[in-house]
Amino acid sequence: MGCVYYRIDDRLIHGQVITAWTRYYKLEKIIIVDDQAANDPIQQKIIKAVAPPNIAVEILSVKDGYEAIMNAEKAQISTLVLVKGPKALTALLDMGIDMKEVIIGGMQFVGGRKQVTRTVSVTPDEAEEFWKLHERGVELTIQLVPTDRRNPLTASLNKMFPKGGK
Amino acid sequence: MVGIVIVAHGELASCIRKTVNLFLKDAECIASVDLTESSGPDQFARDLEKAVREVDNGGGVLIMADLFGGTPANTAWKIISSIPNCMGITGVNLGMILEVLFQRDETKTLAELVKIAKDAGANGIMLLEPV
Repeated sequence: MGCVYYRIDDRLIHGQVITAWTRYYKLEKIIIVDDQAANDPIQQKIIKAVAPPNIAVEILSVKDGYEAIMNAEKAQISTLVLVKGPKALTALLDMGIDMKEVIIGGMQFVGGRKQVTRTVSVTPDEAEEFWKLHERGVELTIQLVPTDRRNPLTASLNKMFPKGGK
Repeated sequence: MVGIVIVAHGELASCIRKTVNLFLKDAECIASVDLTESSGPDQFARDLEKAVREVDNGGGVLIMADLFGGTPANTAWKIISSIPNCMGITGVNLGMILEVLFQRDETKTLAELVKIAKDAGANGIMLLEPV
């Protein structure tokens, strides 16, 4: 009875991308789980100003994010959990969140990352985090908008960062 | 004189910048920052901050972005909220930027130019009905 969806996109809420997913999932709420954003009042105001209308947006630390996600599940509120990378998802899983699938939209090519697909770049540590998530049974799919073809992350990850090696 | 930075997705910003040259060769204090597919908010923010510093000669800076809610505009909005004498507008189009450049001079303030940009951008949208 999943009503909570998970997405990695380091551009967070932006333009038509989030509108497309809002319609597709019939979202009522977006929870951004990111310690940095949770401490940045300017960014929070901007995020809320550009979010689709009639959507509740919360920007929380990992710890507070866990609470908010549990509440959304209990209340059956269609919710998108948005993070910038796999680390936050691992932390949520460790805290007991049940996560079946993560959609990866974009991870920018910057600082120590290698490009894995057009829009996804990862560091060796992030690659390892993804492999661990995969082992824990989380389906990892690259998809920018709902009409895009779904691409399993592991296939692309395997080329640059094969499982078991760095 | 107010400095101008154009920001947009893909190569739109640099293309607008180049096209402006057809109308106004050697326009000063104007820069563009592109947001490519593999790029992201952090690098883009650094590039935009650099461009803002480069075009600022004391008269303030106007950032002109493509889409409200898009990463270029969101990044610009954060910078506008963090430094003085910097304003922004979305929906940049050729008519908007040309009008700003034509009217830009030592007497126009940043606030005045923003209003000129908003009016010109909107006024340029006209239906072409068969005559």
